[in-house]
Amino acid sequence: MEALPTPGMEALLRDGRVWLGRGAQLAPPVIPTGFAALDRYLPGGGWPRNAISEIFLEQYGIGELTLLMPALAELTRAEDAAGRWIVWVAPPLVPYAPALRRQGVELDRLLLVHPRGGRKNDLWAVEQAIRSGSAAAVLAWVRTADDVDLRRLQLAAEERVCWVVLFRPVEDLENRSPAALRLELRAGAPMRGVRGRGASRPRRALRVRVLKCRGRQPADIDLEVR
Amino acid sequence: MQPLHSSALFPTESPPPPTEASSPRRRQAWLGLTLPNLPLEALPAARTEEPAVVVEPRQAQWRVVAANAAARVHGIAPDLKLGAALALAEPLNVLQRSPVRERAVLESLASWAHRITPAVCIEPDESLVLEIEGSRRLFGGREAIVAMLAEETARRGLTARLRVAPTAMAALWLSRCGADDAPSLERLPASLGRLPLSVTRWPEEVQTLLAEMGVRTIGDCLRLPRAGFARRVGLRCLADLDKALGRAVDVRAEREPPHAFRARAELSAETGDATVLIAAAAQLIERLAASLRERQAQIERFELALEHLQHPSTVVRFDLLEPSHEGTVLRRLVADRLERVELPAPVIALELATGFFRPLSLAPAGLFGGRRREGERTVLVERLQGRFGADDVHGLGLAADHRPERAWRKLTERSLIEPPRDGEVSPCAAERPAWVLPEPVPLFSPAARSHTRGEIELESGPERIESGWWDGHDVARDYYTAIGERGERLWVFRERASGTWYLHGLFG
Repeated sequence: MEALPTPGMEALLRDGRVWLGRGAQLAPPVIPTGFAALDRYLPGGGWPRNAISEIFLEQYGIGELTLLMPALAELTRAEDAAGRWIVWVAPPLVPYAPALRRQGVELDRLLLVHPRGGRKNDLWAVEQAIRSGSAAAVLAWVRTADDVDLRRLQLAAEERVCWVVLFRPVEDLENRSPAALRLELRAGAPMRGVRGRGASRPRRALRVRVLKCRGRQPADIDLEVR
Repeated sequence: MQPLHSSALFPTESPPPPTEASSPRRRQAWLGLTLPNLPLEALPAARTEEPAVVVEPRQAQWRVVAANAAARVHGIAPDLKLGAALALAEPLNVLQRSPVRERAVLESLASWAHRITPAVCIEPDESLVLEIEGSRRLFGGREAIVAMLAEETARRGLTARLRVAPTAMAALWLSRCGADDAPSLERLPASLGRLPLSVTRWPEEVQTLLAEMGVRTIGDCLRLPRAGFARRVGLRCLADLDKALGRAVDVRAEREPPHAFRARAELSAETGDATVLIAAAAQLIERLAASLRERQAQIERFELALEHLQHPSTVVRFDLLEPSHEGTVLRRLVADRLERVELPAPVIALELATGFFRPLSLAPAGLFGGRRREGERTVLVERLQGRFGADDVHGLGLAADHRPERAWRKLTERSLIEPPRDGEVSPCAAERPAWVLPEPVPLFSPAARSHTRGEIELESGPERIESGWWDGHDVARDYYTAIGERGERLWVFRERASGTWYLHGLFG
């Protein structure tokens, strides 16, 4: 099962609804994060493409999108994700098109949804996006979601092979969750040494605390993001 | 057109050679269907055991157009003055003629008749003609088709006269007066000859003129000199005779099946219950889908009007991003929207109306994605827009402008599905934050405080942006990146004119 004939077949085999005969074990589909340290740690070498990843953070602007950007760019070019949306549900600010384009994200694949009417509608939009089968990834900023909500989303993500990233406030850390991956992000100390005037943006540190990861021990990973 | 030298219009002994237009024509069979009692039968109130008449104003007087059986017993006949009719029967139900309802009855019958043949024409004021030769085999012969139509008209409570003839005009004329069928082209002059002139519905003055000449039947007409007839009566009437006898091509405007759909469902009681409304709407959608299937069509937009007793109707519009014909898709859209529609009052009836039908174009569904995926893409957008509105579901595009807040734009509606080619717009070479605020806000203002608190430290900059002097929205700013107390990286600028600091974005 190393080399499959067509990307279409590969996508089909990875679809959770397709029953595979005994012995036909497929590695879970992943998308490389673009950060060597994180890829080395994560099972399969990337973000799980058929599960929920939760990202907890206290403060926007610490590099949380930069962390996803290489994978998003990769996904907008991936053959088996061709034509599928990357859906943003209830982003707290405006994703800035020139910045995304600059990072290699194909803009015509992005779909932004601003549900009105509270958390129930947020979750509805997320579930619709996943279940439609036309979303390769769903990024959602959900305020509160309980175990039951998340389980539904997790099942849908498995079935439809959709990379689901939920951004959640740190207060929700204590709640149970079926997510395959739970990360908490903190800004590291600024790297004063490499600061430059007019030159490229200084690097900064991002501390990724892995709270839960299927098949791995929790760990802290320090990344350098640009 | 016939040469004008022959002495009689159509000498029956030696028929003139057929014109080039008519000779190679394939055999045709037309069915004429006339509803002689249509003025009466179109009005539900006239279906009564009591004497009833339908009247219309003619030459400043109300005259009887049709009378039901009970009224006819009293000697009331069409063309009688209303006053005379009232004198003959007492009590008498007097109803005004409704051309609109009559037309609706004909239209509905015509649309039913489309299942037999595509060539259905509506003839004023109470007839249809159908070309049935082409459908004969399919339905098992002419007789079977005539029987189907007879059964359907009877089911609708209509009195119908059905006649078959080789030409449309002949079939129409025969059905108007109820004469026997005309079996063949050769015997047409004989069968039509006996018909009174009134079947032609020629203008009043033409009929009077002919009557003064002693011409009372079609046969009388046919014996007249052709040139004289053309001069005195007119070419139009001559053409009608030619068409009836199959000597001129009869081009008819065939009725087109309807291009749109409209249907109404009344609820048994007023309700604001979404599940009841969704169920009622689903039935309408089902009829719509059946109609679309029948016509091999799809729609781009439709409206659902929710009618209230005391309020004007609530109208919900649905604009589809891609034409659709699938009942399930439409039903889901409607259900999503009805779940959250705000009603000023309970609903008593629903009406569904579509825009014009579009011809169906089916893209082949590939086994591994391909075209089908396009459809799924659109379905998702439609579902989300259906629930949250078109403004709150959008895409992102670049715009060629140096002002940061104008370097991007929302893509909505069609541009979302078929994004414009942004190739020529190159994104800014300088660093840009992944998040921007909808509007720049003054730094350290309450609005900025939800994004950054406490002191900030400038990291790099300035990048000067001066642009837009030509349209009045000019900016003159020095942009810096800054770092906040909790490690957030900010995009801030100082407005050069005022010296005020603003927060514009976050390096997410």
